[in-house]
Amino acid sequence: MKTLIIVSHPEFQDSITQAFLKTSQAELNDVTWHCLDEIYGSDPIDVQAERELLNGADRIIFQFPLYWYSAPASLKIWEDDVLSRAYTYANEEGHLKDKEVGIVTSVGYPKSAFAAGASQSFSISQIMIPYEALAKQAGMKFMKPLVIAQFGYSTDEEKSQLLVDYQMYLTAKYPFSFNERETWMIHQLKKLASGSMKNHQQELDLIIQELETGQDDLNDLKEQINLIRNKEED
Amino acid sequence: MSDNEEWTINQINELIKSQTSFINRSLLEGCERLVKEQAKRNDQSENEIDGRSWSPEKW
Repeated sequence: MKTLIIVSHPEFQDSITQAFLKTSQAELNDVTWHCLDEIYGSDPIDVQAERELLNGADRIIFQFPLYWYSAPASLKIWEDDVLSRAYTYANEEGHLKDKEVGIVTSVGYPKSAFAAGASQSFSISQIMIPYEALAKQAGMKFMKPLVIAQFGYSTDEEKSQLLVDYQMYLTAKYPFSFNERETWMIHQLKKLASGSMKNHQQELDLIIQELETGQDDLNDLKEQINLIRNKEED
Repeated sequence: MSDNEEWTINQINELIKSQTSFINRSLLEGCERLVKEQAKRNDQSENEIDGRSWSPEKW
């Protein structure tokens, strides 16, 4: 699966959040980091080149800080230039049909502020409706947004968890069921065992074995529970 | 915590200590959370099977 991250951030050089995310994805295979402000600045967008990138991706991520409940201007300009009606609409040329689209957005308030009655009044799901509508029109699968709240105040532990959540958001099979998270983690450990942690391969292999056994056990138990439930319903 | 779970967590913690890369440490910490969640779900599922198998309605 190929993932394209379209970053929109007018101050991308100074953003500690974007620097963290860029480093977090650097070692992943089949992931392309594509920062609009860095590539184009105030130059016109190369529509053909952008469409070629989109056509080659299975998962497209729009990544931006939330500015006035929307993306910064560079993403809106990109949308208006690249996503013409014929190219995008599922019932016309439909080049984006069946691809997945995700949102990674950073916000300056705690997540709890985005709710009815809280300081921001609206949920992230409500604020992201224009992207969900776009996805629907294009025949794309809309992924639950990944929200990064007040990154500057994050502890090391929170950053560590964000790194894993972000890598998973980019590369794991969606939706992220527990079984899928187990499979994804086993895959990452195998990569470590044959790559940067090769000197700990034996220990990693044993951990992988334990995870795989736990996954099999859990799947067996779920199957048994389903059998019992079905019998109870008979 | 079962012996297996405890052993796995200890192994992961030893590996975390050995790593200087933040990416590697984060993945191992993610693995630790997953092992704990997996064990919890296994326990809950076993308890559910016990509960359903011993339903007094079936006596």
